[in-house]
Amino acid sequence: MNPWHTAALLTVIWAVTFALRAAPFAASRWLRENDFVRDLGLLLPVGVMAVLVVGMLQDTPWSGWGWVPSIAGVGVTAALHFWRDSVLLSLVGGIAAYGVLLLVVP
Amino acid sequence: MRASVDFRAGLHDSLPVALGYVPLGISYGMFAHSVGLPWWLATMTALVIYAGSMEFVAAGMLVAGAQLATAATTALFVNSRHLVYGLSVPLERVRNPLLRAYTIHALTDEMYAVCISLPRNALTGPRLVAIAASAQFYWVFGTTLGAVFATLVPLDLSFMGFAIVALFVILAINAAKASGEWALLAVGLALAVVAAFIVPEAMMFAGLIAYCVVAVGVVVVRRRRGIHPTTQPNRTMPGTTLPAHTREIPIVGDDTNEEDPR
Repeated sequence: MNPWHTAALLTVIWAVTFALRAAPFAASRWLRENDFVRDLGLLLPVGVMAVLVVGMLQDTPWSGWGWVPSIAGVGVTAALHFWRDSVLLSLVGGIAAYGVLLLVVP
Repeated sequence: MRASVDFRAGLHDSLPVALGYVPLGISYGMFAHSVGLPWWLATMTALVIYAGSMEFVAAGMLVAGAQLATAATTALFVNSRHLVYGLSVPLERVRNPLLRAYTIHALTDEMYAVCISLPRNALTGPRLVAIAASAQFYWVFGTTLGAVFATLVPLDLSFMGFAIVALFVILAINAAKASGEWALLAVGLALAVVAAFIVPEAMMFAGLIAYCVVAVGVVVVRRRRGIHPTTQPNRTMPGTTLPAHTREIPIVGDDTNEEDPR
C-alpha cells in the first residue's frame, strides 16, 4: 500500500460521503420542494443494495460445490432477518453458516 | 445549565447505538484485518469515512490500491441514501460551525434513526453533538478492539469477509421493507446478474446505472399516473441499519413501529 495513495483514497471517500450528508443543508429548500428527487430517493436504496449483494458475490467460485457456502450464507442471513429482524443476529448467523460450510464443502 | 443537561440527555440517547455499534465495529475490525489492513488504518477508516457499509468496501479498496474514480463512484452509490437524512435531522441547530460540520460528518444511519425517534423540538444543538460524538466513539472503539484482537490472536478469519455480503443482504431487506418495493429488489438483483455476465469487469457500475435508469422510469410513470410513495420520506428512510435494530430496543419515545409497513 502506497501511503500517499491510501491517504488520497481516504480523502476522496470522506469528501464524497460528507458532500452527500451536507447536501440537504446547502440545498435544503430546493430538495424539500422537489418531489421528483424525493420519490427517486425512496426507490434507490433497495435496488442499490441488491446490486451490491451480487457485486460482492462476484468472486465466488461457481464450479462444483464452490457456490454452496455463499448462497447458503445469503439464505441463512435473509431467513434470520425475516424471522427476528435483528441486524446483529442475522449478521452473525450468516457469517457462521458461511464459515462452517466453507470447512465442510469440498 | 440547559446546555449541559441536554448534552447528558444526548449521551443517554445514544446508548442503544452502542449495542449495535460495538459488536458491528468488532466484526468490521476483524474483517479489515482479514483483508490485510493494519489495525491503525481500520481505526482511521472508522474516524474518517465513518459509514459502516462503505468502510467494508473501502478496506478492500485500500489494500488493492483502487483507482480514485472507482472509489468516488462507489462511495456515491453506497452512501446515496445519506442524501436525504439531512432533511429530517435539524443539524442547523448546532450553532458552532465546526461542531455543525462534525455532526454532518457523523450523520450515519444510526444517528438518523436515533434522531427521528426523538421529538423534533427536543433535538437541541448540545444534544445533537452529544449523540453524534458518543455514537462515533462506540464505532471507533468497537473497530479498534476487533482489529487489535485479530492482530494479536493468529486465527484464520478470512471467512469474516462474508460480513460484507450479509450486511448488504440485511440492508436490501430493510430497504424493501421500508419502501414496500419488493419488485424493485428483484429488478435490482436481475440487472446485477445480467451485468455480471455481460460486463464482468465493470459489473457494479453497469448494474447501478441500469438500476438508476429503471428507478427514474418508474418515478416518471408513477407521477404521470398521479401515484406517490405512501411512505413519509422523513420517517421511513430505507436502507438504514438501525431502525430494524431500534425496534427491539426500547428507545425513549420510540415511534418507529407505527410506520412499519409489514
